[in-house]
Amino acid sequence: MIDRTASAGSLESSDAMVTVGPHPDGIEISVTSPVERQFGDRMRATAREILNTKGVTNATVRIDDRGALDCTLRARIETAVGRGIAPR
Amino acid sequence: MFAAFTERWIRDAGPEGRDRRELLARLGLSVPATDDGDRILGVFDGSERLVGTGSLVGATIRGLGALPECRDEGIAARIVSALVTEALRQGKTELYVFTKPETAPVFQALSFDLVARTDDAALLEWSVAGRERGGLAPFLSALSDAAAGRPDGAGAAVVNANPFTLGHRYLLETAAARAPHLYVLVVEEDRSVFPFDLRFALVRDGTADLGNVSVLRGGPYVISSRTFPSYFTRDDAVAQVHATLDATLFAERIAPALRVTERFVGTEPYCPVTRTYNEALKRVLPPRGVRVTEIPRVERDGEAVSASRVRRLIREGRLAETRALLPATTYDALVAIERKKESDPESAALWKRIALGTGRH
Repeated sequence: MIDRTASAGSLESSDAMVTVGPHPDGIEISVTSPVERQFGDRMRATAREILNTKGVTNATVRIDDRGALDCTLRARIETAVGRGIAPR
Repeated sequence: MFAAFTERWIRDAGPEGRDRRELLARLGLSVPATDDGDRILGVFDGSERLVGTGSLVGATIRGLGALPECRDEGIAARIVSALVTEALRQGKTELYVFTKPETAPVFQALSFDLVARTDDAALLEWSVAGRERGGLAPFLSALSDAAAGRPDGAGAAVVNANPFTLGHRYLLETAAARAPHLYVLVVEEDRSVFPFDLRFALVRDGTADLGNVSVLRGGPYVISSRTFPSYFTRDDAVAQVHATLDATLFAERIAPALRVTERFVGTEPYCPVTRTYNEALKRVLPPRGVRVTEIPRVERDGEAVSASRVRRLIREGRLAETRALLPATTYDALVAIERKKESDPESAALWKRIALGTGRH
């Protein structure tokens, strides 16, 4: 579960800023990107896959993509999700 | 050529703060006042010269500026990234930007969404929940829902109702008689003497007998610290800029959501900021398809009935005299609070706030 607002990355060119926050029920992912039309669904799928892997079922995820490579985006999502989960 | 910039938080006091003020002044930008808890970012080049700055004031990004020769190197993105990250670290989930209209595209490219733009100012926002579920979009869809099944060409009035007087009652009654339906938006910002919940209840109860009136929360987009900060801060110099922005937002986004084509306002005899606001409405709304109808104020004993007059009487311990200025619903509610102040701590706190209250609206 995402306990708090957390982010990773930046709005600089070729990067992405990923922000996660709590959500009462379910997962909501929003994307802004210059290539949202071509790659928006893929970015959402990547985020879902990472949340699944971490067992997160409730989360708000906002991806502000500025042309990041897929590997960069993955790293940003993983880090943001990790930061949003309070240590047990 | 790639320049090795470094960034760090700087203090307003001290030489870096002075450099920042100079930089902003050189760029023709105003220098936002900062408080404890607000943060100022400085970006420096290889020779420790300040080349860019931006600050986080509450949940607002302000004072963004960079030397023209450095702008192509993504300095704005760098500053805004740091400020957004800091705001999120502070637990803020909705951020906004009040800036010059020509700077709006810089923020739009950084995924901020435009709320309203005028010749002098632009308001943008960014929400963790995203542009569909956060910020203005859900507010507008709630308004559309409230207007579902109601007539087109409706009227609207915005009241702070601090508290709801016979003056407000006359304005709303007159407006409701002229319009097929009337939406009353109650200013939600809780900076008035009477708290929002009470102001809202007094408007609702004081108009309950009018069948075609809906009382709605004004939310953060109707005379709020977001759209109209100077309404609350006594900063008259910028009131016109803010008033114009608030009016533009009303005309372009809120009125269409409610299918409103007429805005009703009371004539304003006292408050200069409210007068400025009325002037802005008359200038901005009609070209955008919303008529502005000014209803003269009700007078009692040769003086306009106003909420400030009611507050003054209460402050002076003359509650009984407010009876002539208030609808029974408001007067009875005030008397009930005053009576319960000995026995009920909540009423005691509320009465203290009311009886000591000062403020302009």
